[in-house]
Amino acid sequence: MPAKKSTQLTLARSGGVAGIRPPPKALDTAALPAAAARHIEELLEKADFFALPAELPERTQGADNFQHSLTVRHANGREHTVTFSEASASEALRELKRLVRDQSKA
Amino acid sequence: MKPKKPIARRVTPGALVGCPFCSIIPAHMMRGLAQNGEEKQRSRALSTLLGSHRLRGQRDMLGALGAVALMTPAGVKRRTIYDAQQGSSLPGKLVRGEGGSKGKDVNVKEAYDYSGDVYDFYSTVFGRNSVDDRGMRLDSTVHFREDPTEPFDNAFWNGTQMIYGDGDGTTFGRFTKCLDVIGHELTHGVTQYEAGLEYHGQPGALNESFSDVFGSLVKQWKLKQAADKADWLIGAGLLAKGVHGVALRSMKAPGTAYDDPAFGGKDPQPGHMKDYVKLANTNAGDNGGVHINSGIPNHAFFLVATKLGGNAWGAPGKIWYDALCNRIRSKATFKDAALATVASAISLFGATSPEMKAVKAAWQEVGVL
Repeated sequence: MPAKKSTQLTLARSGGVAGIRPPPKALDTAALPAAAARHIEELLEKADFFALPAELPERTQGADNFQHSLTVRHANGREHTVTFSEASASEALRELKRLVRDQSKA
Repeated sequence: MKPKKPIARRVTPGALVGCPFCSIIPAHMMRGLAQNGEEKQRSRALSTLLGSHRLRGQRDMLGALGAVALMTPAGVKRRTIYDAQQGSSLPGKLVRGEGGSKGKDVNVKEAYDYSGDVYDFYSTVFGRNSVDDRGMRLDSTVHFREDPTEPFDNAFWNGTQMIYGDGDGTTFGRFTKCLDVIGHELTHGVTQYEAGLEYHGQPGALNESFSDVFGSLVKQWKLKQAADKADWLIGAGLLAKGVHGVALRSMKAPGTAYDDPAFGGKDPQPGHMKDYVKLANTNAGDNGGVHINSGIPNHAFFLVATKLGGNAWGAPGKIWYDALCNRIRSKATFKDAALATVASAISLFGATSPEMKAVKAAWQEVGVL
């Protein structure tokens, strides 16, 4: 049986008044049911993830806001990291972030 | 010292700051908002109306608006607390205005009381009238979540207001709990209107440090603590039970505030230039470690305050405030800030004063001068 295709996602956080960097969270689509893995691929496409800039432009000024960084190592060999605040992200990107966060809890 | 501005008996257009639409909305719509809008919109609309040349002096119009209660003269504290109800919409539901009844929500009470303390501190100690020194309204939103599916472990300043999460209860408690944290956030506003320090690299670490310095000073002032009695911690009591740590940062001993896997390990703050942490100047790199390298100027202030003794909001606070308002520019390095505070000390206390010597010695001790 051929090895299952694997896309790896890693989520990190920086900033915030505390300035702490909690341990990053990771997700491997190879460990997911086929439908869930497919959903992640769809979200990556919908977010146009590999075309996003390394930093999404901020919508507000200010200080101490959280910054989230999502790194994707795709099964097709591509790798990209996008850093964003929640307010600057698309719904698809926000859902990817939630999925990595929740999957990591298991 | 920054010259004290006369208190003008006028309505302050402070709420206009950061409100790009105010200037393009026609007057008739403004009147509609002033009559029918939510309080925040009403206040902004009213300020705009009062500030416009066309309508200035038409006092009878104010009566028609029925909004005279919103005409707060400059030099008066104006706090407004909103509840985001665990969502991300800002500002959220209005729950308490200035002088409004207490209610039962402790987060609302703390945001209201502590932002009042910060206002009083700046007003009493430095003669400053709110964040912009023009009586700007202090808006706070509590029970905020940037993602409604996740507790929010943060407090931040978004350029126009303060925003507080409830914490997850396992790493952090509610972010309204600590007066110094609220002082920290509001001071980001003060810095925005004064030095305008950019939020990356050394200017960013200075921006963070000024917020810690004045956040700590508000707390010491409120507790009437002399420098040798203060804990010099930022956010003591904010960490949840079970977390191995005492606070977010220590100005007395940077790098010792916590050591816990949930916090990514040990407090990474340096207290000396030889330990300056080089991080990427990107959002992912905390903009070059603005929350990390702030330990160095933080410790310099602690050294000045403890060398001079007495109340840290006295000479040390006045020197730092003068430098922030009159001498430090947006791209300042640590060295620029050091020279600025030395110049402030000379200007306020004299070229051979103990204050000047303490400031110079402190920056030398942390390796900046």
